[in-house]
Amino acid sequence: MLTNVRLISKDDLLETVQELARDNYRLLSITATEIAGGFDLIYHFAQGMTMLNLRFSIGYEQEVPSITPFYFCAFVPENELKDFHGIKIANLPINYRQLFILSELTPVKTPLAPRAAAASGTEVLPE
Amino acid sequence: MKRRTVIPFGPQHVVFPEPIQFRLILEEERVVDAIPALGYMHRGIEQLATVKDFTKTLYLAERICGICSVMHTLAYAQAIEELMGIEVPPRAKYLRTIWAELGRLQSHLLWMGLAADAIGYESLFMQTWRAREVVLEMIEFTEGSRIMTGSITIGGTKRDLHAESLEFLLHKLEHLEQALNDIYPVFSDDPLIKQRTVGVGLLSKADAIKLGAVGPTARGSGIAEDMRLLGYAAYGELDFQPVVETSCDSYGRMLVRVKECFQSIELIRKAIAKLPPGEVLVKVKGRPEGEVIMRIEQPRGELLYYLKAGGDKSLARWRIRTPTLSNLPPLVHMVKGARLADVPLITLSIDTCIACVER
Repeated sequence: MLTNVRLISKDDLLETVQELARDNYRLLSITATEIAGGFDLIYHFAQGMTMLNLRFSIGYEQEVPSITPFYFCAFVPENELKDFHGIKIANLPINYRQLFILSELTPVKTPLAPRAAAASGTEVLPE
Repeated sequence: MKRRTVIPFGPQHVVFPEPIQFRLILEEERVVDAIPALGYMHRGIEQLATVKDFTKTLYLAERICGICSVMHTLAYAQAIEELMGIEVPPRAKYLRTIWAELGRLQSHLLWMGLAADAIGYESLFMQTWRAREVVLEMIEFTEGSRIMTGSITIGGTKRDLHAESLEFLLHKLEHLEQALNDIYPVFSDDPLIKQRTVGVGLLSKADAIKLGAVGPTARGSGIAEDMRLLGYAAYGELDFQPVVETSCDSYGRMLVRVKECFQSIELIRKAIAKLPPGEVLVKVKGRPEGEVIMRIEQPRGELLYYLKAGGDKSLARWRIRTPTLSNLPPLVHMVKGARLADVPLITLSIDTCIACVER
């Protein structure tokens, strides 16, 4: 089951991540899931074998600050968030502009955000 | 300021079995920066899982990668079992461990062969892959095929190992150990291999933590982290310690993999010795509901799955974070300051698995 979850707000993200970086936590990944009206975000960290998950929600149009000032490696999952969900990331130093894993030829934009894609009139995959 | 040149390294290159590109920015012979470019074989597996039946997604998991196939099915099956509250029979847990270690052996030996080939040791490459063939024979004999075996399923395993299979395994493990005893000194002591790997592709322990390195890449930098210590499958009952090297270079990462081959042999022997009797599969009823995170140790490092299910036939979300994806930022760090001629071997030293990255 999902354990060690700390609920935070988007505004507290950078401060919390800075503390984790100071305590030698490792960034494992970032997971986004489309929910009604926006996205549920989970930032996965670990210290040794123990995990810590930071969780908050954002609206479709809200921007999330990049955590690359504290974890440079975050540019990988943050570019994935842009590719797969169309989530806006502020101050991303290595910005592939939604071409990190997907390409210009990909027929479906933001494939893991079907409701957002449908609302914007983009083609979505059939159920 | 020195003149800078950009060299596209990949997507087709002799050290890459799969396509990936690094745009290397050079000042004369030195790399000053590297930008990875992905997307040559993305298959949309995370999205596909949201429309497929969760039982069929098991086969999708196996096909994420041809080398780590058993690890993906293990992680997926364990995640679904945790969501549905399924208790897997003890014998199945041991069988899963045996097959997972065989998978690790064939993956590490595959890498060792590729590394030998990249260095220019054709004979070592052939010796290593001959040893790998012994492992593939064990997999074929016990699981029915060599790569996509489909042995692990939700609720246990589809196959059992009988006395004849266990004897075959023990016999072949002796052959394999002998072959590895012959190969090991070449990897550890050969002056040419040391010249190409010692002090090349440096990644300090602090940088490994900061950049999120996992698996042999992290253990080669002195980090004693191995997800098998979490005790999934039968690992909690098999006493072992992670293989750790502290040289923080390509040589250290190479030695971790070579030594882990011996460790896998020991783990398989222990699992066979302790293999409990009984059933190997329980019937699965219902649909998964809830959220779970599953972490297991793939040959290349920590594999992380996040699964969310709402009691429907399909999953609401399946997030796959593979070890190579985690090891890309450390790789970018390692190649900075390296000579162009060392880039292929440094890239190889994290054991890139692009199919896993692209998923």
